[in-house]
Amino acid sequence: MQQTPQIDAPAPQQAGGTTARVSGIGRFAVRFFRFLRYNLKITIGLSMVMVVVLFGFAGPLFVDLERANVGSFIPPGQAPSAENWLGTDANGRDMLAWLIDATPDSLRVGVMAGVLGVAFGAFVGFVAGYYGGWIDSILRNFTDIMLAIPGLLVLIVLASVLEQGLTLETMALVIAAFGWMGAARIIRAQVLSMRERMYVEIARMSGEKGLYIVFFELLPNLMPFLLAAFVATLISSILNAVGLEFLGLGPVDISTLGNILYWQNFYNAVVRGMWWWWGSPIVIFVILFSGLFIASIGLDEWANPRLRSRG
Amino acid sequence: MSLAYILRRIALFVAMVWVGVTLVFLLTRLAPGDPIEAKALAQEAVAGNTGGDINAIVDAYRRKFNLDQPIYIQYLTYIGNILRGDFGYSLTNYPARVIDKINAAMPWSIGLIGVTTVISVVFGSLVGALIAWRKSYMSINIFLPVLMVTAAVPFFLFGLVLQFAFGTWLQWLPPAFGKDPGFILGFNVESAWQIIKHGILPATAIVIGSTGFWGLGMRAMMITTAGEDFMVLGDAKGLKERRLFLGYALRNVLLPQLTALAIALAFVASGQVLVEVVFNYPGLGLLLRQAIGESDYFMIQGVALTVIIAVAFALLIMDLIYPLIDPRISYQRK
Repeated sequence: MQQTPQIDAPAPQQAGGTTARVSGIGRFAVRFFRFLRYNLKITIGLSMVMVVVLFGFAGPLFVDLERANVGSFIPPGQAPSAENWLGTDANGRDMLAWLIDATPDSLRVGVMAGVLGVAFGAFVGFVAGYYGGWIDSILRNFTDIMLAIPGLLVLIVLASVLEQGLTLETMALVIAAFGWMGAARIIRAQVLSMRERMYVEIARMSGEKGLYIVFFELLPNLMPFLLAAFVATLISSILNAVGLEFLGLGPVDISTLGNILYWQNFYNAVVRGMWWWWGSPIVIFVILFSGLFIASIGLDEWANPRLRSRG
Repeated sequence: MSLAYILRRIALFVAMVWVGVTLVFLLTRLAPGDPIEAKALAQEAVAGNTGGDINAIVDAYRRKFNLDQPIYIQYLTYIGNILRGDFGYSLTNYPARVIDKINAAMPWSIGLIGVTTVISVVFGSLVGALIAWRKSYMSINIFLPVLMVTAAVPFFLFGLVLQFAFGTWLQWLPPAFGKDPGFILGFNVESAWQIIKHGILPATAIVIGSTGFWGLGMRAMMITTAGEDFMVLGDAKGLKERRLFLGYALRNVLLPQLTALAIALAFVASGQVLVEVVFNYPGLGLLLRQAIGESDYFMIQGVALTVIIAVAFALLIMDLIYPLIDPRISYQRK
């Protein structure tokens, strides 16, 4: 219905198709950028994410991060004004500087957990799909069970035990422990259907070794799915991190976006009418999460052409 | 519905609870330090002595949970306690049992998640289906980006906005708590009004957050179904649009939606906990927040285990109802 143009456009060579001549990651990148032209969702989504990334990483060039400290002698509780663009919190921290300080660390947790989660999930999915049999049935059931366990609650228990609180890296690690299931399911399903494909057969018959087949025949075709799984894992990881931080269980010595929300809750910013305190991190979250989510829908459609809506 | 099917589902339920419970045990034991002693001492240092002799409590816990025993005996004791519904005692309000506090909070949380799930599944599915439906008004398409945003943003952020807009600013609805302070609930109209009034904002936050998820899932499945042969046939036969939509398309897609509900439940439960924290809603979320603030380790663990078991139980119920609605499933050998 909407976005008719890119749907009827000549589809680029589709991943997972039966095309036999697929060679390596280079072709994958070319296909990706060719598809970018047609798929509005990936482009819009990634641009939104880039806005947040730029805000966090280029922000320090324009704003003095010292203003994010508690003892920076800025009048506390100010509404947004010409001097303090996004206002100040109850302790005189400049919101704009604080947000710029916090954004990269929030993104870092998500990326670390996303990479770890997808790597582990892909491994599990690959083993399950490729070997099949009882290995598959054990791994598949374990994946389904893990999916039904509310990870955030287990993370809360774990974080509450650690005396020092979590560091950024341990938080990413434990979050990844509950973020691999989606990738495992996707990759398993793909490997199951791929290993019977003609081009794999041909590779096998022409004497290619197992590992060679995995890396040069299967992996390039799995890349779209891995990318889609990575973005989905990224979203759920940041969600979990924000949840932990909001409850005051995240890293205590680093500013993150969830941390800002914890402090506004601690100081009752909502009841005191300090809307800029919680409003500005929410704006960043809305841009970031919507961007990632829209991009992940686009990536899904790229990986799995059947999802593309018909005009 | 065969006996084998029921048994298999019950086995899955047991496995689910076992994995969750074991994960909590393993992760907390792997972490360095003795949670009971550390938290008890930290609590004494911060808040003063709140409930009896701290050392006596620590010793009592050591003995009660066999913490001087080898790890497998600790594990068996832990499992045994959970099976008997014994989550231990609150560290901050020593004589109070964790399970009693949880029982008091459960009705609030279950009520909230029940109402919001029904509303968001019905509303979300309908909107999603209409967006995918080729012949619906084009104006419904403006909901698509809205759904995408609401599906992506965590529930409790909507909670903050609603709390400020309708609670603090406009003051139409109470911004926090489950009832007015000092009000005693009973079986009367006034109590019902209290509960509804205080529940509207948290419920709305959850509904807004989860509607997008249902809508998008429904849309994706509807697009696939609309291309099926029986839809083309129905259209060719000249069936009324309404009949085609409700009786042919929607009916077929609703059942996979139920399966999606099973996967989403853990996610929704986690989200709701945070919404309850925002609104100081007297369910498990508030209990959890207080427990975290007071470093009440056994309360935190108790709440987490309760949610894990409750989600697994809800899945079991859903799995058992499913074949009654969809006869195809009982023939399927999985």
